[in-house]
Amino acid sequence: MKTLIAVLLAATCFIGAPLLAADVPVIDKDELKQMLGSEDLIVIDVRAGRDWSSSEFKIQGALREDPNDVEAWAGNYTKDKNIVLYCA
Amino acid sequence: MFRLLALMPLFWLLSPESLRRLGNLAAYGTSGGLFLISLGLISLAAFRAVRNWPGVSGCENGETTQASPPRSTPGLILEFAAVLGTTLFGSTGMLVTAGYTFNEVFYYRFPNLGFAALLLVVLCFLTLLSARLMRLAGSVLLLIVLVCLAILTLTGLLSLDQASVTVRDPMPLKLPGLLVGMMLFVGVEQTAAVSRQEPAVQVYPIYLGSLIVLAGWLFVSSRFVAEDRLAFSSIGHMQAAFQVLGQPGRLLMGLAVICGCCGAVGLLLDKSLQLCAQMLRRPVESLFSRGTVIVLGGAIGAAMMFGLAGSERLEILIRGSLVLWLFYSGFLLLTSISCPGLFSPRSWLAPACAMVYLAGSIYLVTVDPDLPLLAIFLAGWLVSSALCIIVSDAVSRGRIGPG
Repeated sequence: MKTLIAVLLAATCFIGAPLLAADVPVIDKDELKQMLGSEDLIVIDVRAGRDWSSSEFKIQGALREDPNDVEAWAGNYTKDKNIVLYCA
Repeated sequence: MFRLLALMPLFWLLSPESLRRLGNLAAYGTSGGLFLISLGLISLAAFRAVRNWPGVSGCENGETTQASPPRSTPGLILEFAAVLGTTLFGSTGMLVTAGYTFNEVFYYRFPNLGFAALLLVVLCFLTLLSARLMRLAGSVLLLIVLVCLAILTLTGLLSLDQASVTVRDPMPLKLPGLLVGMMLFVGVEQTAAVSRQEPAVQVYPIYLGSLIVLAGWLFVSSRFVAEDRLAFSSIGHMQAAFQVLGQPGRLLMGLAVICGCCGAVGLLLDKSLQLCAQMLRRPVESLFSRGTVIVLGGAIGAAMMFGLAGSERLEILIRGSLVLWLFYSGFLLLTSISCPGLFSPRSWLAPACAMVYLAGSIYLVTVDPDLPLLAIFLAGWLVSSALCIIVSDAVSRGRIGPG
């Protein structure tokens, strides 16, 4: 029974983990769809490793950047554009 | 029902990891298919020649008995490093892939990480509940993968005239690329182990039949997706399935990926549990042995939660673990040959097969694009495994006492 409780507790914590990111400002796919094609939009795909290679969905025209080295590429983009970061 | 256990040795061959490597192998056209079938046949023949197989890792004093399986320390270190490495890193990769597949193919509102975690918890729970149940469930899941692939392959073969790719010359044959196909045969030595444990099941014909299905799928993939896309894609299998059957094809391949992941991760957890129980000299059912499943499950969960899947290093860790397993397979054959009574002298294929596995795994390390990191991982992982074995040996000896 102790084992079962430990497993269920771990599962609850783990499955709930994505909810911790709920306060990060996000736009949904429909909003992004309306913006696609605009010259003011830059989509940056910051997925890496399996997060990128396992996914079938890649946004056409999105630029790939390393999420662990933001300072190296952040200066390449002007602040007057709408920059959408695409993660997992 | 228990005849399904014959599918157990296919745990890696039908996993999502193999499906993506199979896609890469398809870029070599007929050569890729011939390589798959040839190495598969040689491996099956070689391991079938091991006529007395009590789950050996080696042979001490040239003799063995069924009651006390022989163990050599290098064999045990290799086995521990290979099995635990593949369970930890391979499972992390497969579960994340299954999470993405469910999210993108079946229900996009369900978070991919949440689905991966859910699968992990269910698989750990099943393994803890009953090893036999996990093996049966794993075998059924692998059967589903096989059926999905067979449907896609047959459909593809029947509609070759509608293939969207103009048949061109396949990619030039390159040994490193072709040898990546060796990684499909991780765990092939389990054919001999399962055949011995479950004499009633037809392990070898089923493994061979599965190879034929996979070779067929490889052929169909090469006809429906351009070879340059297959060679470098990690989702070549999904692209091929979509080209063959449209959205239903994608759903079938999605199902195959998720079932393959569950089967492979479940059977890897079971294999790790058996191995740890043997090392600790305790029954598999004991709480102490079962604790290893919780530790492993926790480690895989932590690896997913802390973003290992989002790092390119995961691929290095997986490749390293697979190379270790291939080397272990070769080592196992070699030690079996040199151990009187374990090996049928009729087969000349066994020494050749052992050499292919040993030399192939060393070659794969030397041509790896991340050789320095891979070498560090291999050295570190082998040393850690050796330490674990020394500690577990000391603990179990202390518990049992002298004599």
